[in-house]
Amino acid sequence: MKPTAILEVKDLTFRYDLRKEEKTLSAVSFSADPGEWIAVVGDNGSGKSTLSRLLVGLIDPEHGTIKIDGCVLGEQSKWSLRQQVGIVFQNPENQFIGTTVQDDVAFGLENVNIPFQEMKERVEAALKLVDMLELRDKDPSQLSGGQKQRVAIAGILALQPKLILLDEAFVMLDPQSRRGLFSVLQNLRKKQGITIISITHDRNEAALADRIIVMEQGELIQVDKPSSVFAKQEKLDAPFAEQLRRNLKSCGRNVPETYMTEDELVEWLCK
Amino acid sequence: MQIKFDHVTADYQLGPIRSANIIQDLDLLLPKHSFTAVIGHTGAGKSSLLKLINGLLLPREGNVVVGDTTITREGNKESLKQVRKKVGMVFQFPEAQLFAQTVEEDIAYGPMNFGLSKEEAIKEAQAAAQLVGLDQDVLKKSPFSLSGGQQRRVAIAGILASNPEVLVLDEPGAGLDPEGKREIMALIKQLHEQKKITTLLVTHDMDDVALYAEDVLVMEKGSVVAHRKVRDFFEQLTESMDWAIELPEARRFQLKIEAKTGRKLPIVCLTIEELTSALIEAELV
Repeated sequence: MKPTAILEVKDLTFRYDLRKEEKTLSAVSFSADPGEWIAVVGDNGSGKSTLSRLLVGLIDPEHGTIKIDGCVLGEQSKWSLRQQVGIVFQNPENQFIGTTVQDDVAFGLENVNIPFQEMKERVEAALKLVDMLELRDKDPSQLSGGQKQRVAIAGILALQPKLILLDEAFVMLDPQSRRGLFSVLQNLRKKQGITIISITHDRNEAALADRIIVMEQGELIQVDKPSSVFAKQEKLDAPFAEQLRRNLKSCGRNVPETYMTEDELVEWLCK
Repeated sequence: MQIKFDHVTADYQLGPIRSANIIQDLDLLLPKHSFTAVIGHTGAGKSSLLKLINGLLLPREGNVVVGDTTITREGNKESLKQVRKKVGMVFQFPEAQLFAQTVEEDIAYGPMNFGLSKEEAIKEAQAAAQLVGLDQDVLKKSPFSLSGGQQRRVAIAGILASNPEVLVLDEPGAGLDPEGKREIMALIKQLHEQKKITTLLVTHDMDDVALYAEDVLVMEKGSVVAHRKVRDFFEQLTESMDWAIELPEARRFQLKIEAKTGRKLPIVCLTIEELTSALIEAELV
């Protein structure tokens, strides 16, 4: 039996300026299962961030519905639903509030009245996960860009939401910490069934997702597993191995016709 | 313009509280017209290094020499002004600094602050806009009506309008889509080549390092642990080194194939084009 979807988006439409016809998002529908990792890709201005803002109720759709864990997101329900959905923005400067790293991580927990002892434990655990426990007493404004991004992620992890939205939350991290956090999130997903929706321009990260949503000018043009998406969307920057396959092909080499993952291509080249 | 660091130590001070040293006894020489990529972990001191170059952060010990101007602990106002005029700094997410009613006014703000008249500043703004590839009709628009990639161009044009001789950029491609990022990086490379701007680029993307930079500078815990030509650097980089630097994708892929076949490809490949021809030459396809 298919598990009940944690997120169901139906016919979502949004305009920033109601005087204009031009829609930022038009009739977007998809759903996400518990524990799924979905990557959202598309050019700047394709509506990805608007979609993420709608999903946490920061802006209201013109029409269409969002159901989180079976409950429709609306003016009444959004306060309680936000305990289940966490969002990490691209620029962490936009969400700092505390005077120390640990205060900042605790802010969300204070808002939902978590008992002090539990709050302390959760803050510690979250800072440990993002490898920032040592800097817990620092002023966030003195941190580097990547460290700020990690604190922002810790703030969300401490809330233990069922659904995490990442709006390019890894862009300022060095490759090593990026991989580290990626595997932290993968583990949480496997152990606790957290669903992750990650807006990203990183083709290699997208290639590792369960499914990819492709956005173009406010429309969802494809949602499918990475191999099908990269095979069909030629405009999309493909993962490195796939690009190499295409390059070899255009040099007249006799490579397979279909999308290949890195391991498949290495295997094929070494045979 | 040459940049020289002479035993520089720096930290951030907040009231009476000092942080630990962010930059630790650093010696460095960046020749004029060089294009250097600065890499290293988050918190290694990359952004602080950039801030030292235009006097946003003052050395606690040692001094920084930009061209013929010296920045010391005291931070002489006149020399700071000199330096800031010569060193254009593009921060992380520079579009966050846009504020004016129109693109043109926003770009002209810098030159006006450096003492140009409004007409002169507008002229510089128009030239800078052209340099970064903004259309004339964009100039009268609000910067906030533009896409992220366009906004970043406006922010960079605002820096270029003061005709800097040194350009320091802190992750200029972050958050842009692949196409937008390629355009911005190509623009920076082009400026470096045409206007001979000494360029310093902080990035986490080793493909950017391989594609655009000439030299690479590795920072760790506030010190420079390596400073070499890009190709030499990646050729010698092995996994045994203790600073964990990622390889450009082409090189990483190459090593994977070489490990599996037990054969070396004819050259060290830093780009996908090099790898494509090396694979063909080695008759692996």
